[in-house]
Amino acid sequence: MILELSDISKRYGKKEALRNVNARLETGIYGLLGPNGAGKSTLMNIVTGLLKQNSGTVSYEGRDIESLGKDYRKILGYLPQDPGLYPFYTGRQLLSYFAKLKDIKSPESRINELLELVHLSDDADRKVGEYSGGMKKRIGIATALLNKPSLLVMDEPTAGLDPKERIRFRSIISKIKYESIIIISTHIVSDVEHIADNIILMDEGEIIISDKCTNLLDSIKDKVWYAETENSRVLEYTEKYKIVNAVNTDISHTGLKIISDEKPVDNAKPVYPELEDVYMYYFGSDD
Amino acid sequence: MFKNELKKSMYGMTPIFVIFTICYFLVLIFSKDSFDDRMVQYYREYMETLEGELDYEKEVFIENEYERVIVTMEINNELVMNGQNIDLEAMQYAIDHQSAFDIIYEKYNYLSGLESKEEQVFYYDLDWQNFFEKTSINYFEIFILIIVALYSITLEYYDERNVMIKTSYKGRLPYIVAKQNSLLFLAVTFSFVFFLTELIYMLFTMDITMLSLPVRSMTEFSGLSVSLSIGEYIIIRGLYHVLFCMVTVLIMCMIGLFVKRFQTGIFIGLVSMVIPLALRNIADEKYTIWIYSVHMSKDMAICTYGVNGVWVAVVLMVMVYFINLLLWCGIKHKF
Repeated sequence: MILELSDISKRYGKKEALRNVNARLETGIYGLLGPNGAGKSTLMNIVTGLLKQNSGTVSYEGRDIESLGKDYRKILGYLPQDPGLYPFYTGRQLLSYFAKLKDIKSPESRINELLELVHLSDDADRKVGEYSGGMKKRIGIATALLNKPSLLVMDEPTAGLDPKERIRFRSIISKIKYESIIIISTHIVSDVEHIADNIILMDEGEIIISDKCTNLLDSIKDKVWYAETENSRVLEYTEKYKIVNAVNTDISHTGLKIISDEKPVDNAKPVYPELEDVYMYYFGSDD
Repeated sequence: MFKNELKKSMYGMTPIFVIFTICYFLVLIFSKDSFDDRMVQYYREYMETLEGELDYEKEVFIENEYERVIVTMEINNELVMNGQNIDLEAMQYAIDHQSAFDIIYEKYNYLSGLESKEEQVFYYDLDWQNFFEKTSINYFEIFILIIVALYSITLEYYDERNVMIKTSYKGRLPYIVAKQNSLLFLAVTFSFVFFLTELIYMLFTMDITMLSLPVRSMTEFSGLSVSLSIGEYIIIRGLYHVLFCMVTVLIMCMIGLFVKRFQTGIFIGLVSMVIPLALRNIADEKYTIWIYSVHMSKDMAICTYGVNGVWVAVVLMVMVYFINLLLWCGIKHKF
């Protein structure tokens, strides 16, 4: 499975939302990261066929998605940030409704399978309006997965979920990662860190970097430092360096995780980077 | 998909629908008739004499009555002005019968002008006039259709539901076709139920042996271009009514697709009802027909447009239907 984006550009009036975006996506999970206004949503809308680009092509398996038309939607699963769920349907009725929209014949077994996967079998006959935020997100995921999509696009799928729900989400996605191209757009870096094979970093309508997660981490492995300092000097460090994290180590000292090309202070020790450090390396502390 | 969209549109709407139908029925029963009782009494008395085809004897009777009522009034008014004595008994008769006779005389002149002898018929038509007047404009139904159609389409724009639908295999053309068909089905059902309400009311309150009489014998239907019996007219009226309801839901669907918000849609929908109402009082006579048409005033619309009105409604319906397809699917996108 290959999804290819070639020279995608999109303008809203004079504002250029996307500028010559190129990417080749194969089976696996892609974390789409970037600050607000980076162009993530526009890119996802174009990939899902909701928006038409001004120039460039999106092709799936070598064919333009425009020419694929509804056949493209047959292999597509999309989970928006606030998945549109009808509160008057029960979980099972909602899945049946979307199964019809997705043209799934005899969907009962698939519905049961998905309810099991998202741990909602016991609540399947309750009204969606009575579900908690996490349950709504899970039934949304099940909806997106109904047609066994080869391309699954998710916008902020973990927003509003508690830590337990996030772990559950990761586990669901991990189970299907070998069958589909999965694009997860998020601000929450830690959510994709553990599951994404590849990371796409976007800013100002362009892809800054796109690579395997491990390569990205390796690329800054000698640029992340840990240093302890007196509390009174924290502000001075913050102004001077990109600080990823600050934790009080005792009553008068703070441990700082610093991004810097060179050793920032004598007592700084190099530490192995995390994805959040990569994000901070490229986008700085302002975001 | 059709069934699903129907279910979604009707969710929470059934009680509103039932309440409005009952209210409408009650309004039909308890709303006041437009004519005052004394006038009705004298009009009925006249009709006992005049009922049936217009002939020479009836013409003579009307001319005599003209003398007794209109001329007497004129003469006695002059006598009063000059301070002379008047014939009190004759004057009382004229005063009592004047309003009823005015209608009779107007009707007589109207019937005399009709080409078809079969339509030159006197019958007691005040009840029918009341019936048509009461059921001509149905605000209950327009209101409920505006609510249902706007609710049904704007509910898809909450929480990005439209996005989930549009990225589904059948989420573009098949979806919007099913949605519009379900709304049309609702419009037909609603209009039929309201029409049925009118028929039930008619069966219990009207003399249905009169259904075969020509409707054009009533002066209010002078503009009607075809010759129809009251019964036939009621059926055509029903057809008009169904078509108007269908056009209404499709137009509301279009407004919903534009504004995407229920509240804004309701505001626009209601304003579109109120503006013609306000205009009715100030607008030029020639716009009155349009205003009544907007308000689904069946009688005015049928009299003005005749059978052509059906075609206008059908063409409008097809146009709006396709505009809605484009609005949902997007002009640049493949369906």
